[in-house]
Amino acid sequence: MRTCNRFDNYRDKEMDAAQRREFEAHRTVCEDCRAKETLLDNLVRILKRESLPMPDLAGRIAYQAFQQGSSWDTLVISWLRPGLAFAALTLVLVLFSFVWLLPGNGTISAYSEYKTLMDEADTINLEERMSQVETNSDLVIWLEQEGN
Amino acid sequence: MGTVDPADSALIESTLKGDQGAFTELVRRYQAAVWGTVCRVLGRSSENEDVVQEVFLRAFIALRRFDLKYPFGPWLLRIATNYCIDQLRKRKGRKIQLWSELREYDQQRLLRDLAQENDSEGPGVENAEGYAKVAQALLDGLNPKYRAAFVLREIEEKEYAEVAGILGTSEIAARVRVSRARSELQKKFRAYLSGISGKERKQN
Repeated sequence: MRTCNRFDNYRDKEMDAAQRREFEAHRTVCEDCRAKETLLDNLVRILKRESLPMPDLAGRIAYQAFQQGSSWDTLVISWLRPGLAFAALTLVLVLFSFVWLLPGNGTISAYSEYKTLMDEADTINLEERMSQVETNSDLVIWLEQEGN
Repeated sequence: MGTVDPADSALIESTLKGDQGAFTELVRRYQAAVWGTVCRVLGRSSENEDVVQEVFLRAFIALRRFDLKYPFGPWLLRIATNYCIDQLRKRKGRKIQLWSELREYDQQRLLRDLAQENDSEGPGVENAEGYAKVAQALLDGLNPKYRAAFVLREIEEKEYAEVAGILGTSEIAARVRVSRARSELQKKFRAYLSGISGKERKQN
């Protein structure tokens, strides 16, 4: 069994003469190793002798490459490595967030929020105070108190 | 891993400056290598021309990132092999199709021939098409990564370091893939043979 495990070393011709002799002696009695070697030899011969007529594609490929390569997105992709593209995207996001949170933008936003809260507070107080007004005379007194 | 060919570097630099003729020449230098790898990894297919074209277009797009300190060939074959592996993953039904194209009698005879020790020519050339189909059907049963490693090592006779470089893996991983491919092929082959023997026993 241990000798079978050395099949790859034998096949890859990575054995010295003594190891090779030992494996070849093993092969004569090991049907598995013999069958594996025969199959691989036959497969490799079949695949190697397959004629693969090759068309000349060079002109067509180069033409297409240059046609495709002139589009702006291909040019951008060709310049950016994936890592750089990620870094560039992150930088754009950071810049966008920074611009969005500029002091000017922040003040306007905080002031609007403050005004909304104050308006709400006024409305609540007004409702509380108005709830005490039940008659016309109460209303006259209330208006005088409010300074109207 | 091969050495840098100054002629390749010059052609790449000219291509990057916009010289279409230089890229044509670069493709002409390597199209046989890419074509061989594509056909052997994917098997015979009418789509192989498109695959070769796609490999070179991908290389063209990535050419600006290519470091001229390294040889161009292994880099290009790496693109080709990775693309072929992706294609193999998408072609799951092909094995059955190839196998069913062979009549049962042919299957039996071809498989038995593959199990016989032959002369240096291998199994008979009179039915080369049939043998090629059986061989491709067996290869189609392999994991795409094992198949690519097997083709590069056994058919293209590349050193393990080169196989590793093309597959983008360590030499040990390349050895493991080739070894597993060899064992898987034998296992699948036995399964086919025992399937035939089983049918014969039923018939008798």
